[in-house]
Amino acid sequence: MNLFNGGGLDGDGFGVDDHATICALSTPPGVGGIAVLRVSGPDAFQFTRKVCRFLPVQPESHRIYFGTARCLDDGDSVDEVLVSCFAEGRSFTGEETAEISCHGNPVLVATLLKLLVEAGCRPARPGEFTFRSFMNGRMDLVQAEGVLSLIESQSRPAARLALRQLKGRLSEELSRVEDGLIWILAQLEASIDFSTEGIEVIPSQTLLARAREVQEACERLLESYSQGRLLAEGVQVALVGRPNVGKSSLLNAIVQEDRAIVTAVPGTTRDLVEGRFAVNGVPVTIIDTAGLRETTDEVERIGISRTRQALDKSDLVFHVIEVGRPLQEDEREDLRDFRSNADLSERARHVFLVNKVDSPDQQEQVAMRLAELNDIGISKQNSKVFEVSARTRNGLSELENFLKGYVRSDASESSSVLTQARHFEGVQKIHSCLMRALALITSDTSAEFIAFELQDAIRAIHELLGKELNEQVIDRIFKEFCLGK
Amino acid sequence: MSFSSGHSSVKSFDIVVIGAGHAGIEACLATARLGLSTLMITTNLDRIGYMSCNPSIGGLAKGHMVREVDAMGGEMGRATDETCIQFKRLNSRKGPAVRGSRAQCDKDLYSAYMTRILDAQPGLVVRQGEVKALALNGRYCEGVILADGSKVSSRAVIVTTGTFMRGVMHIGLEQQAGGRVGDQATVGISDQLSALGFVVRRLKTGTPPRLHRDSIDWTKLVEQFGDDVFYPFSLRSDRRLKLPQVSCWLGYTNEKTHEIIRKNLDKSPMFVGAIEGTGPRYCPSIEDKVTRFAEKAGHQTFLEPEGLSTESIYLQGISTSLPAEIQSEFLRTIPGLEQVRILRPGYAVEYDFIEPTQISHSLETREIEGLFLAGQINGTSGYEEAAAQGFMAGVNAARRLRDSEPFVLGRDEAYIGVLIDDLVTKGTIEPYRMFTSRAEHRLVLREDNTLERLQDYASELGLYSADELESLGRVRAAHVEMRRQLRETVLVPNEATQSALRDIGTAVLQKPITVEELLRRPDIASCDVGKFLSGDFSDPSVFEPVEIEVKYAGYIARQNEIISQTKKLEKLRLPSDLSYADIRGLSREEVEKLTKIRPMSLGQAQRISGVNPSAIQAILVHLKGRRKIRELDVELG
Repeated sequence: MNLFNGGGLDGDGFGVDDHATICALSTPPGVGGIAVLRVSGPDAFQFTRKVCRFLPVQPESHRIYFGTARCLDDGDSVDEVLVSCFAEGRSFTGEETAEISCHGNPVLVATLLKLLVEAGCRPARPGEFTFRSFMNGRMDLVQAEGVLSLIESQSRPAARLALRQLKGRLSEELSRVEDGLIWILAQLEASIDFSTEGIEVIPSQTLLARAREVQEACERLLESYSQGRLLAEGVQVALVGRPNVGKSSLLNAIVQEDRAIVTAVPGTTRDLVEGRFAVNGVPVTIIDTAGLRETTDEVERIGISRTRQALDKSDLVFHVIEVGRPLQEDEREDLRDFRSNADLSERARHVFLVNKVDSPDQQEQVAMRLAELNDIGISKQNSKVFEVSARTRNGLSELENFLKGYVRSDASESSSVLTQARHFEGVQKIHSCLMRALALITSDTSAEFIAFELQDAIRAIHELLGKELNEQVIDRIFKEFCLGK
Repeated sequence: MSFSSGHSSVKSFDIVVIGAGHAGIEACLATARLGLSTLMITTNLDRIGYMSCNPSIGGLAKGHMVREVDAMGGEMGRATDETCIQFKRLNSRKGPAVRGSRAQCDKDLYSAYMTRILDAQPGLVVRQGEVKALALNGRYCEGVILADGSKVSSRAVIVTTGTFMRGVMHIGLEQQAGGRVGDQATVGISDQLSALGFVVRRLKTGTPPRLHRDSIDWTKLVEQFGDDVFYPFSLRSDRRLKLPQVSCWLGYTNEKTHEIIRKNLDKSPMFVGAIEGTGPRYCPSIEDKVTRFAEKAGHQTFLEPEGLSTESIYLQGISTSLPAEIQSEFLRTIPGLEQVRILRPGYAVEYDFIEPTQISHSLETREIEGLFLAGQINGTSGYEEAAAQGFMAGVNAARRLRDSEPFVLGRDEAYIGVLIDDLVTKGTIEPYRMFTSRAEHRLVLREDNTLERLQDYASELGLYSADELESLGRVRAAHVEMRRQLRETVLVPNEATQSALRDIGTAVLQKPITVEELLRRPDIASCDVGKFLSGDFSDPSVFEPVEIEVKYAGYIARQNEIISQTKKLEKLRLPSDLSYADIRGLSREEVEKLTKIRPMSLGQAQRISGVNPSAIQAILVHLKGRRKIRELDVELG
């Protein structure tokens, strides 16, 4: 996702032949109704015209031309196509651009791409159109990332978020945060640089109130991240438990297709088995792990180390125990580990499933297992504990409701949502600067240190958006204050 | 003393400095002291180092520059210390980075001091005369042509003409040519530069009326005293004030004042459009204040004596260009000024300046070699800004003659660095004044650490005598020694220590700590810890920087971290032959600006207004692609 390292500066980066006209398929590969090929660069029209001879020498911008695409040499017809033309400065990339819509057949697409390359184009590298758009100042960094997220979105809610980011909603939100910071900074700078001019100094209560508003805006963004990341990346759930407690069957029951091999031999699931489904449009990946049992078997050992990795990466961990069998010592130990090592957010990750509750007359067994869990500090009061049956689907709807609550996407409709780690870290930095600034204002520390924190926060915003601090503060001072030498 | 007339009198100098203001003085002293024969030409020998506007030197961010000029061997600091009649450390209750020293000076004595210094300077000739034109040979400036047509040859020329280039003074709707009351304007040079293709534009500045001391009822004004402690500007001055100290007085305008001003706006040259130049936003005329901030019931004004032996009182904050009789009318509404007599009415001055993006960091023009510009001609305002540029122009002219690299201060090293980089990178549309907020690294650009920042340059430049350098070296050595002792002296919680701490009034120790840790306590000052150190560190020029570095260590470290990040772009030199038109991704405006300003580094390019971050990225990619800078990877870390 890093536009610079991923593209601009690497050895085979985009910048080496600055002026190349590039082409690529812009719609998903495969068979479809139509496919769109994009050509961008200084010679986009000229090169496209070699393939689409019906195109006038100087096509009108934002106009669609219809005709037959033909081979360069013998003029053999390839397909009937529509060509949309966009003049330099008026296209997505900011460069002269032609978009060829042809029929959605991979063979046709390959032929047309080959012809475009023969005409002088270079095949575009992944993300290169967006990179050029950013380079040409058509969008800021956050927007550019939005484009990439949009392309990579795995779900409707995620796509909606990415689109909003592309339209600059997140950038706007960050700019609002910046405006708030600049306002405060202007007051502080005026109190420093014009302290002898008899200007009215804003009381620190007002500064505090403004700083808190900005701080709260940052907090809303930070809180949205767990949500946003789930929407963008989906949720990963790991199933763990002793061999043969029925993890694979449970996975199949949840995903409702036969994915995992279900047998009664312990350790069958040597590799990680994945199942996918959607909750409220958010993709959920559920991973059946090999279990954490100590083993001398090499293959199983690899499986176990993969399990550990999967556990660390997962948003949720489903611990499966069997209703009909007392907790084994190693099981207790594993579970105790999760209890003792965990802070609150880590605890919230763990869910406990008492499996194989196939019939109502197992209540006694259920009670015994719950008591055992209780002994090691896990109860229905402090944790999520479900009684389920892979066979009868008993309890699975409760589990599904829990997942729905977990991924609820209601917040994403109204406010900005952070979806990327880079943005989260940036906003975190802004937030911690603000927290320090608030403490400094409260303790009546000299303005230059408060200003330093605010400038650091503004620098973080500019880093996020990819822009530099300018003379905004000084301009603001002159707008707001009556000054005299 | 006027320059001898006649075409036969061709003379030759290494350097010619045009103008004897604050820029011209520092420029000619620097070149002469560096051993170059220097001629200073001024239109009025009685006005050398004249303070045309306010009677004070220094102030916020400006005091910094006076100290910086002094630390490298300039004169302004010593002149200020010698003639100070009131000293204040502004923002003394704020943090260490934004404190600023300001001295009110006796204007006549200041001018007399500078005249004396120039007189005594070997290698310097000062003459009265008017320069009509620069003597050019193609792209080289080879001297000046005087009013009588004679030529003075030189290897470099420094122009410091202030507000005098096509200067026009406005009082009401009357206009008069001149750069200052009593002095003629200079014509010729700006027309010549225009004809050569330089962008020459107009600026405006104003000055308030001067009042007769005896016509003021002082009982109705609030007396303002100077500080008890004097911190000399110059490292070479002693801490004793030479002159008796005086007070200023504070007064206020009121609704009646404002009413008279509003009623007469049609007689203000600014408001009827007779002035085309842009005035400074930070120093608006009273007409401006009354219209733009109509809701304010009163504006403050300080009444400042212009010297010990003059009747003249400067009325700070009330710059105006209304007709004299209106000035008198509205002034008389101010309590204390009911009977006031105006010695000289306020007026506005319009003058030519050279758009400063046409000069490089050495202050030499890009188009004409050997031609340096300094001071208000570059669009700045203020004595201190002028002196700083004059000094740098002098040093760089001398270096040019000796084929040395230009001397350029970084934005992280000195306010002077910020000043010049701003001018040559961004240009200006109003008279440029320094503020602390212009310095993005201001936590490390303090008055107290001036010596530490610039000492190495001081010895490198060669403007200090060996004795002076040695005495500065002793101060620096004391810093280092005090730091060492603070770090290495450990206090153990024995009875002697605890009782000493109780005497100071701070908490006793629970465990051993270093004196440095003790000094970090908010209730501990440097004077409290002196008893734990061996040696005398009671001189403020010694303990102040050390104490501040200790107390604000966290912030200073963060500031230094930011500096080292920005250095990466600063170190990335841009080839002077770089063809911006060939770089993909630059807008037409960006190509134009980059081509015009020719930034030295990517860091500077980034500061050009209208050059977007994407353009910086594009240049970086371009350089990388072409492998123009092989070390790019290394430098970018």
